[in-house]
Amino acid sequence: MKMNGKIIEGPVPEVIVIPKGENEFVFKALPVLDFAPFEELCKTPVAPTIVKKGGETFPDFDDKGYNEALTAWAKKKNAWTVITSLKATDDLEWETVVEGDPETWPNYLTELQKIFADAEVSLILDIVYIANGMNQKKIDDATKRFLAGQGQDQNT
Amino acid sequence: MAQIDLKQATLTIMDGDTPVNELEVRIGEGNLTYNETRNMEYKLNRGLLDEVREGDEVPVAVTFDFVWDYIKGSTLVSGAVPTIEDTLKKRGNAVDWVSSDADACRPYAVDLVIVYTPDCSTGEVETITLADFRWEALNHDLSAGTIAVTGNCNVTEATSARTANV
Repeated sequence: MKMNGKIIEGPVPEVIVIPKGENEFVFKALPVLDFAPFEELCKTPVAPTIVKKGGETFPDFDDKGYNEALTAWAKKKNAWTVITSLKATDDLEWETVVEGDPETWPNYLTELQKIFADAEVSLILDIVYIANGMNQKKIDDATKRFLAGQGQDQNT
Repeated sequence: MAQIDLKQATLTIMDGDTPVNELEVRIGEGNLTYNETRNMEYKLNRGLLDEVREGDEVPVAVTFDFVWDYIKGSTLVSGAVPTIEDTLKKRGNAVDWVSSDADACRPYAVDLVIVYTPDCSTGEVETITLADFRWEALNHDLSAGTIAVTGNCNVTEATSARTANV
């Protein structure tokens, strides 16, 4: 893909270094571009269909079970995104997270919290969110910088 | 037992699959009854009451006959909504349903769960479970558009639980 005649470079990892004692832990996060493997393991919940007396059908988005399933699914998707994004980190191995077992995915947080302080865990997760475009503040700041630059161009 | 206004209750027919397949039925007009029976054997000693023993177990007998307001399919299973009769007979859109009975050699069964939610916030939600129900007679009334279902559950009594109405 090109923009303004320049080839857009492939995904560049976000990097953060957490110093801990005499060690420096380098975490890298890449954007997740393909969610098909996740969908294969965790299908998006479907709202139950209601059939009324006359045969009219419609989905029930207010269904309690559906909303609980959707919340659980979203948590798993978030965990899967973090784990998959952090695969860019060299030699990172999880002890209790199993790739094919969605129930184990949320364990990544417990494993991080065993070693790193809350603030450090937040920093690690931040690079995942930035890499995956989920940091709205960073996008807003970049947009503001771009628009401010355009304003200066018009004034000169 | 307290009288239950079935208009404030739902009947959920559930199978034994994981995730569970279910059909929620909001009852309009009609009734559902279940009968628990216990056989007691009274032994006499020279014409006087003496020993008491429990006789043979009797399954819970269930009948229901109603017109529904709406039916609702499973949350996690996509596809068309089965009819009540489909779920009882494991056919049509319920052909993939799995018996609620853990013993796969026994005939197909479903669980019936009645959830009564009183419209006043002070009343508790009552959940009555009739496990492993197998229909034995389906009486169709074409003019009324109803099916009267009778059958038995492979349990001696229903389970009932009350929870706060939130």
